[in-house]
Amino acid sequence: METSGKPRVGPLETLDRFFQQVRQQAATDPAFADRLIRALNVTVYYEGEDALKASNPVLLSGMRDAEGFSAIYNVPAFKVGDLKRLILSNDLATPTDLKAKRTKPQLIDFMYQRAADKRRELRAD
Amino acid sequence: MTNPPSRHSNPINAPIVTVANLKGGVGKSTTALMLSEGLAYYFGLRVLVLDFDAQSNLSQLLLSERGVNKAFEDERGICASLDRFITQLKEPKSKGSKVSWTPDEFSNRIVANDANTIDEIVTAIRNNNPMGRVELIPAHFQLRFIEPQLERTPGPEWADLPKQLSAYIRATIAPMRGHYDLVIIDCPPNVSALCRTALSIANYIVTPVVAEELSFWGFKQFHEWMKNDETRSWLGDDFKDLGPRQFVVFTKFQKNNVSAAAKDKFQEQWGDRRFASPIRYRSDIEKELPRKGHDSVSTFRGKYKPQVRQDILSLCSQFEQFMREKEKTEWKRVESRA
Repeated sequence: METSGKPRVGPLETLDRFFQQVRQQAATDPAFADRLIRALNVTVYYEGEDALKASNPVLLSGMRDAEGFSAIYNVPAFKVGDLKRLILSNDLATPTDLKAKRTKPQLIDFMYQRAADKRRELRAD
Repeated sequence: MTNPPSRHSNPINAPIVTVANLKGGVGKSTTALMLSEGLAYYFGLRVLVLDFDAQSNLSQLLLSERGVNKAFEDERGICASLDRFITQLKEPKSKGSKVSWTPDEFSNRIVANDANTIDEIVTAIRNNNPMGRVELIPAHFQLRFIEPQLERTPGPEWADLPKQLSAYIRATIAPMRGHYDLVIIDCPPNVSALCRTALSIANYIVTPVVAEELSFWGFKQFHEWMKNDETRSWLGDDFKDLGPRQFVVFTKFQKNNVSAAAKDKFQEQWGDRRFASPIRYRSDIEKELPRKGHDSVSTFRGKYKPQVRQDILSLCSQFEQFMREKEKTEWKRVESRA
């Protein structure tokens, strides 16, 4: 059935166009991609620097033990500065707290502890 | 922990200021936090904060939730103090019962000495440069269950309870009151025993209000309740005339004509009160204020953004002026802290 003078587009092509837009947006906006993935409620393996920057350490601390959490962030592409920025942007520490922490294992362990504390503050298990 | 004597005047009898409004959501805990940290930072005051609100928001902001729970488990805080009071009410002549805590008990048992972690201040203390700090007698969620127990305890009548509890709280803090320049009490938004007690021992009241009609109505109700005969029966003599002892702070102040007009109207109506300049609204303040972890250390300049720092400095400067006029206090501004 045609409802206007525009070219005819079938339902599958309409959906293809819609998902294409969602896919393009997810590819350029890691935070948006993270929201979509969380909405699906599946286990997600983060890869790449951008995906790590958009990750939510508080959420991940509830899905992984300390070792699993560390494996996610201890990748070469994610540097000490990236870790510090992630910790600060998630309100897990003050700049003063981070002064003495210089190595990635130190920072990851610290982030896990603070994220786990924050998670316990936000909800009871 | 032994505290050195206060460097300010009036070391024997630090004034008690209660932050109170029967209306909820007006920013009582935030005002108490900003006032105590601001006075410690900008004026070098030693501030003792008592959290009387079972919601424990102020304690949580200062200690984090884990810190609040740890303090409760260690029997530090107002719950531990009230437990002792209830025991005394039930067994007034029990062997070994005593009214007050010794200074050591006070510091070791009920105060969370690590409430203030503004590291500029901590550094100044380490360098033997006397500076202000904030210490806290924290609340805990369990206060919700202790307070009704207090009201039901046989003995004092409703009007007598605040008198007895006031005497107990005074005796509790008496050994250490000389070590502080100021005592600030964060009050719950209801007429519970602890609220009545906080008002009955206060020398001054700081009342946060929001520049909107409902808040004005709440302020009027608070005023009327404070001046009725029943309240007067347990309220201190200082409050026969409430106006000159009330310091009003507009919080969450929005920059628009409606808020400005409401504020002007309010000030015209309550001209005998002292008004501080408003604390402006910031959408992300709730994210910035809480302590980041139980062992987190912050700087005042790192914790508060420039606009908020400016508002805190104005608030504290006006409060200092208010107290200087009323109490002849000589709180000196720390010059290096702009």
